[in-house]
Formats: sequence, structure tokens, C-alpha cells
Amino acid sequence: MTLSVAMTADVAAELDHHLTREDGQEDVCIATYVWSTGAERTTAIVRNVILPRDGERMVHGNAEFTGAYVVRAATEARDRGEGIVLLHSHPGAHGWQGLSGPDHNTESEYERVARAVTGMPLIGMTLATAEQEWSARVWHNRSKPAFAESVRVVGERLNVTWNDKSRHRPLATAFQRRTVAAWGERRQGSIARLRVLVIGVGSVGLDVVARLAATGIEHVGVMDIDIVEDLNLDRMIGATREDACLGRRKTEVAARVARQAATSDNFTVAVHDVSVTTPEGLAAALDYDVIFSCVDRPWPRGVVNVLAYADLIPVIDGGIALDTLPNGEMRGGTWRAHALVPGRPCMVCNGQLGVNELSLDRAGLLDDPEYIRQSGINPGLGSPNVAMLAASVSAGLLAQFVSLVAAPGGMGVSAPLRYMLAAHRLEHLPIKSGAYCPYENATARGDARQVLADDKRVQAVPLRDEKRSPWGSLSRWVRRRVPR
Amino acid sequence: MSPELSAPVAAFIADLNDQGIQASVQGSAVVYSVYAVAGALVGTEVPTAVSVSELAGWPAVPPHWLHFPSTVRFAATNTDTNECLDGWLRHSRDIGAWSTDRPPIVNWLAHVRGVVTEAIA
Repeated sequence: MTLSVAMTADVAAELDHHLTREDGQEDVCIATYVWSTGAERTTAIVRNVILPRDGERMVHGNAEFTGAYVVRAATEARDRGEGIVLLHSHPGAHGWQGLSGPDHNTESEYERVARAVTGMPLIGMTLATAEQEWSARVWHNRSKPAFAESVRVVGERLNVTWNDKSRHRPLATAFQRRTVAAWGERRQGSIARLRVLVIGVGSVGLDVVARLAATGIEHVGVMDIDIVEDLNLDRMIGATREDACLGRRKTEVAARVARQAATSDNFTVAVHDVSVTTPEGLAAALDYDVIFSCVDRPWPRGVVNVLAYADLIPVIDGGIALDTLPNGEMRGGTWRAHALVPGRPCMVCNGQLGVNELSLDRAGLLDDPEYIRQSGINPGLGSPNVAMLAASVSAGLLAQFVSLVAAPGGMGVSAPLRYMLAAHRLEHLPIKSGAYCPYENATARGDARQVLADDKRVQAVPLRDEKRSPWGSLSRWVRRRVPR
Repeated sequence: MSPELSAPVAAFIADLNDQGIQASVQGSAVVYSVYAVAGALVGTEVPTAVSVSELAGWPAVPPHWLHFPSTVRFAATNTDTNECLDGWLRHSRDIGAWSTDRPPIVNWLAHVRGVVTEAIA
């Protein structure tokens, strides 16, 4: 199991404010954490800062915790069902920090206290103050900690400090010269190590996957439960008539397109033929650093809306809606792109996820022909779309991604964006988060997140497997060859 | 909190309590009542319920089905008896406006009261 640590930009700023002293001395403090457990990665999410009271730590060039401070913080953490993090600073230092002998001894001594009081292992963290870079380790026993592979600070920007020993910094390849010229080798080395998941690899998602791979990102995940059909071919650039004829999975096509586009020497693509609405799909999603939400259905959108905040995994979301006139001509269209990160509104607050549709989808009613007939709703399937415009959506999503990870001009992701096609007008929407938003108010809750995933309604996968059976392939093959 | 209640169910009941409404789990439903502010049942307390299984997503995902005793009738409705108490029906009802600027339970009660106003004598 890989270990990572994540915290919001607000928590990081509060810690930095305490740990980076004007007099240049080291300082210490304590925070609490909860777990966010994926299939192959566990993330400790730093939640609450517990600053020392007078006399609870000693600063004398180096800094020390008092036992009373550690016990007080551990007791507070236990009462909230959380563990503790001991933090200290290395003034003027750069990059991922190792553990000196005295620091090792301090954390080792308090490992037993933390475990005894909270029932959870101690996390140790160091702030290298020169550029606010963090390092972290978990103490499963007193003798030796296990170092994390990264510390992620999530806000309008995603700042990751990488442990080069556990996740090696990739060398830029000759194919990436123009990319590196845009933001430098150091940034490229960080972006390339991000694990990025694309949920929904249809028209927009497939384009996003190709461009992530071409940028040099080493590990991309693709998640979808659907297969390629004839009606997808006017938008899935890279899918072939043979893919549709054989009913290949969209993930299989996306993986192929990604491999063809990849410029990294160590590119890997993970295929997830599951829905994020299942526990298995959710666990897979929790292994990633950034998620692209390119899916229409309300339920999976609801699930990623939860983990964007609860698990501090930035989600880049968007979509397109085209309108037609009664005579069939085009009336207009809009597309949107927005990032779901702490400090920016969630999909519900942004009007991009209807609670009613979410309720219906989760209850299975959007797949119930009788309900659809009686209610007269349009479940949104078969909406008009055009490949030339889908590219605008993927461009919008990818631009938000670049703002998130490269912060051009020092600026992170923007407010939600809406592009009006007829007038060619780009709007920055001044949408505020609701005071009672259950998604944003559950920020950094980790495994105590709202449970929207459910394993009761996974029948969509076998149904689609049926479509993929040899009989289905034969039927599609015959259909394509019989004159109509 | 009863130990067998899941956190979302307990939260739903607590949210109702905060609005001065007592609720309890009976069988596979959470049962409570609302005061009818308009319509054929105006001025009466109308028993209603939701399935425990539909509360798994509360407060992020409110239930879709509203349970009422079969004596509470509607002119147009889509019903079944899944997870209902004896003598009750559950009615398919889309949720209307849902604002994150007010507590989820206030949105919910506005929805239920709105449905109750549509009941016929």
C-alpha cells in the first residue's frame, strides 16, 4: 500500500504561518488526520491544527514538544476519531526532507503515546520552509517509519512535494521539448508523476486521455463500463469502425489511444471496467491525484462530487448542451468547465448536478422504462453533440487542469466557466457555495465521507457484457453489411 | 442513537427532531408526520415515511419515494408497496427546488408538505 498525505491549502497555510518563524528558528506543532483508503494507496488527510499553548513547546534554535502537549492533542484527536501528526520545520531547507537522529528519536518516543491514546499510528511531517515543501512518514512501530511518496496541498492550485526515492522524478524525453519549454523541467517532473484518472472515455474523455499521455504524464487511468457503438464514431476520435463492429470496451480503445500518444518512456495506463458508483470503482478512484469527470450520469457525478472534497482529490468537470430549433436547425449551445476543489463550488452549488436526477439515478429509475414513460422525463440520453464542439469542452477541462497543476502567472483554477456558442462569449460565473452544502461541508472527512457508492446496482455491467457477446458482435457485423 | 441505526438514518431523524418532528424507525421505514398547511388535508397531521434504504445518501441524496397510509390519496400517482408498512403505499415523487443555502431537512420538509397539499379528500 502506498502512502500519501493531503491537506487543504487553508490547513497548509495555517501550519506554515506557525512553523515558518520570522526569527529563523525551527518550530513544532500538532495536527489531526483521518484516513482515505483507496485500493492501492492510503492517504492521511490532515484535518485540524492544534497549536501549542504557552509552555507546551520549547523553541531554542531547535524546537521540542512537551509530553503534555502531545497528550492534549492526542486526546482531542481521539474524541473526534482522528489520529495525530507531529510537525516540525526545517528553516531555509528545500525539497523532501529526511529524518535527523534527534527528530527520529522524538517521533519514535511519541509513537506509542499516539497509538495508545488515538488507536491510530503517528504521522510525522516536516516543512522545508524555503518553498513550503512538505515531507511525511507514518510510524507503524517505534523502530522505523515508512515514508510517504507525496504530500498534496489542494486548493485552487495543486502543490505536490514528491519523495524522489519512492516515486522517481522522470527525465523529460526528447518528445517533450516543447512541453518542457512551456513550464520548465522541474514542473514537468512534478506533473508527469501525477496519477490522473479519466472517468467516462467517450467524446471528451478520450481526447483528454490522449492529451494527458502526450504531455508526458506517466500514469493515466481510464474508467468506463460502456462499449463503442456506431453512434459514438462521430465523436470518439481514435475509435474505429472495427471497434464499434466488435463492440470493444471504451476503456480498451482509450488505453490504445493513450499508448499511441504517450511521450513518456515509462507510460502505463490502468483500465477500470467498473463504475465509480461501486465500492470497487470508488476504491480505484481514491488512488489518483486528479480526476477528470467526463460522464453524464448523475450518480457517478455525485460520487466524484463527494470525493473531490472529502478526499481532497481535485475533480475537473464539464459538459456540453446543444439546442436545436423546432425545424431542426441549430439554436445554440453552451459548454462548461470547472474544477471541484476546496474554495470552489461543488457541482450541486454550481447547478451542474440536480439533486432530483441524482436521487432518480441512484434509485435506478433512470433505467426504468416504465418510470420514464410515466414521468415523461428526458433522461438525457441521445442528446445532440458534435465532435468539433466536444473538442472545446476537452480544451476547457484541460485548461483548468493546467491552471491547477502549473498555475500560469501564479493563478490557479478559475471560477466556473461557461461558453455561449451563438454569441461566442466566455463567462466567469460568480457562483457561491451554499452554507449548507453537504459536499463542501464534508471537506477532508476521508473514509467518513458520504456513502453514495453502492454495490446493489451493478447490473449495468453484465448488461453491457451481453451487448459485447459474440452474438452481439455478429449481429452488429451483419447489420453493417445488410443494405437498408 | 440506537446502535443499529446507520449514520445517515440517525442524521435524518436528528434533523427532523431539530425541526420539532419526532420520527422513529418502524420496520424498514422511518415514520413521522407533517402538518398539512394547505389542500384537502389542511390542518391535520399527516403520517408519512421514507425507506431506510433510501436514506443511505442523506443529506447529499434525498429519497425519491414518499410513503403514506393508503387513506392518503392522490389524483395522479405512481405507487407500489416496497418497504412499506402494512396498509401503506409509497408514491414516486420528484424533488423540486433543492437549495444548498438552507438546511437539507428544510428542503425536504418543503417537498413533503408540497406533496401533501396535493392529496385529495
